[in-house]
Amino acid sequence: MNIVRLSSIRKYYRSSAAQALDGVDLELDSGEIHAVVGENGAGKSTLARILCGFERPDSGSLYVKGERADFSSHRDAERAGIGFVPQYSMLAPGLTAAENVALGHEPRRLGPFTDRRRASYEFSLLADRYGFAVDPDAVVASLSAAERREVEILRALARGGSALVLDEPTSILGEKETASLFALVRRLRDSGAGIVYISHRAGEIADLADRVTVLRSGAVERAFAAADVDECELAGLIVSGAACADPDRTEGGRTAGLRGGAAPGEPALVIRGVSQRARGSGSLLRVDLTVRSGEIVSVIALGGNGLETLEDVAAGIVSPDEGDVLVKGRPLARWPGRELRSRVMAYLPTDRENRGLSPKASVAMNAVAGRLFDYSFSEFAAGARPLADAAGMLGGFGVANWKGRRVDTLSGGNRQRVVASRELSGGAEVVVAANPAQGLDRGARSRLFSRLAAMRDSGSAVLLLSSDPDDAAELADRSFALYRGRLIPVERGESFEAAFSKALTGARQ
Amino acid sequence: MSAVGSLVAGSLAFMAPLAPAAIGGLATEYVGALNIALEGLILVGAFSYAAAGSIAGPIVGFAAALLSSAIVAAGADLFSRKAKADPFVVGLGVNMLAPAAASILSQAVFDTKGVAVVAGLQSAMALPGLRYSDVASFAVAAAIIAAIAATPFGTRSRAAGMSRDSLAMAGVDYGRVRGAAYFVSGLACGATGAALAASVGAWVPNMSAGRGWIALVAVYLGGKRLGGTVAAVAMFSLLLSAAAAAQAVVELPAELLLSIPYFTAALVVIVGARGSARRSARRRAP
Repeated sequence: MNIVRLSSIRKYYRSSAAQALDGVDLELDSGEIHAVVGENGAGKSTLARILCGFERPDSGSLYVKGERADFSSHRDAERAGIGFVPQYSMLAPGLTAAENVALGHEPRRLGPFTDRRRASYEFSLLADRYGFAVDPDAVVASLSAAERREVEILRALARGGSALVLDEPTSILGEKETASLFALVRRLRDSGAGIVYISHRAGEIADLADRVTVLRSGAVERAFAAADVDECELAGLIVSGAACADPDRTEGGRTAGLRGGAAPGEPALVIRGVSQRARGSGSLLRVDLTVRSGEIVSVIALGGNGLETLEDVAAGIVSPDEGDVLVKGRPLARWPGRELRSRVMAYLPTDRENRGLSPKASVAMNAVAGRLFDYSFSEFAAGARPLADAAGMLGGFGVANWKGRRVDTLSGGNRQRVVASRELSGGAEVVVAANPAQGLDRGARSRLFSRLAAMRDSGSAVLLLSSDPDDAAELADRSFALYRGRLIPVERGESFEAAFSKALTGARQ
Repeated sequence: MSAVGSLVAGSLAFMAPLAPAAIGGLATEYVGALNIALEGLILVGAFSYAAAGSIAGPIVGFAAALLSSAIVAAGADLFSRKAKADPFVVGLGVNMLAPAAASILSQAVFDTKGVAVVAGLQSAMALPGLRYSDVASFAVAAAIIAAIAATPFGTRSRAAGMSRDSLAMAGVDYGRVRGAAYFVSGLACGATGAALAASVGAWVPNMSAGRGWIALVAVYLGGKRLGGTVAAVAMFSLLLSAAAAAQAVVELPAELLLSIPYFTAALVVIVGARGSARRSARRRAP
């Protein structure tokens, strides 16, 4: 029986100028697990938020058991029996488990007062029914990640429970917890609930799903029964285009122009035994990585596998809980910041707006920001030399029409070119480039990649962190996938992309 | 009465107008908003008590004080939410507007911009050192304590301050919870203002005399927790009462004596802030 149906859902986000959903249809029957898969930014989470009443679609309609429905808050969705388990914790950390589940629906006594005992009792009943053993009166902040997830699930099941939407539910769970979550999801399915399961992990979906819908750029690319494809094909569908073990597919000729040059030399950037706990699933587990002079090493990961944490650690933004990061043999933390950043390490951050640029300063000032101490006071005040330097740097990356403009008047792609101009003009010995091609058009991308390749050829050590396997295929000498905080080497050679897809989605090799 | 007895009675008299304002400050702290306007709201309450009381008697005056402060507080919050204005700046505006508006209205109601004594508005003594208005003020404080400690409103407020997402998951509108917290905060400041005006039976310009700020300090000193805030209020009241009593005994300039509680408070805040900075630094370290 059909529980929920979405029809031609569209959603545009003005803040990011993105068409998150562009006419999506989705059906959920009772007693099925419907996996919604796709890359980051494909629109999976937006779809979940609309289905659960957190956001309203711009157009399109939503039907609950055949009836047209319009959710103005999650409460409406709950009334229709739809529960939501979010990817990241949406619990109030200072309240108890029972208080969190009862929030908004508190039992009362003596008129206006909360009946705490009944809230705890109802929580225990619910926990018993689903085989959880969380203490109702434990403050959420004191619970483990897995226990917090259990509280989230209980909250979703407390009201409704005829449909459950799980957004990347395993991203913060270990293997044991994942297995018990799967058992629970199957049990709910068998008792007649409909489950929407959002994930980009092929292994899980092959295990669990009855039906699969693949989203790409806000539209349904394919919808099929899970039995029709194997795990390998699934991995290929999640990460764009790569097929599994297809002998015809080898590295294309497009990569040849970039690779080559001097043999790698001394280790320039060494990440040794680094573990770092982070929010959500961003933790790193004993990561070892060496980047030598004259090579480009890429680490590729899909969202929520620790790539951002690795970026922070490699760039020295945070010092890891365990392990060391050495730049030219010296611990990163012991480098004087000015010396490190003006001569030794170039850093292209993912968060270019906040970390990479000073948006309210001029483009020229942003371009020369790394070398302000090279100017005497009078040179800086006169402005001619800094402006000439800026012109040289910006020209090299094709930024035009920048005079007298502030950075925040530039487009996203041009902003990244400003960052690249500043960071890559000095000939740094170590380059940490995080998602450097994001938002760049084809021309700018190939210019940036040629520059990185040229720096490698002249002896720089380049660490490329990206969520796009194509970046690695084009540029890297050695590649790793980062999955759940662990590095997995990916061998070059035949079916490179397929191997990547498998590693990235956790499909068994 | 023994010395200790009179000290306690004195500190209760100081505490009566301070306690509601501090609890009101805590109510918005719970939702994660600093109500900087406590001082101005107390003035609104005090003036409303005197003005409405001069027409319809002290009980109506007390009710008018509660309501007018609450409406101003909730209105200011609504304005900052709808106009997306910084609530802090809006609160400062209330603090500047309240005495000016009171002065203009005072001219209209009492024919003076100065002290306006209203016959029959000074509250009688219920107990030695404690007026009926003080008892009413404590009652308001107790009611708000009950509301934020034991009702769904209190839990939702705390959830709002910790994670707005948790409220969204509960289908509760953040803006409504915050508006309610400001309303409660206004009620509390109204009680403080009414208690102040009732203790002298008059409207005196700027009669709040910094109590709104002391109330805020008490909230922070108490670690933004209920028990801590109540303890801080009690400590302040005792110090203020002791300083007032000491005037008769110690031969020091009165100004110096009366400022000791404030210096002590400043010292406690500085020491407390350093302690909490050290604690959180230790928490951050691996």
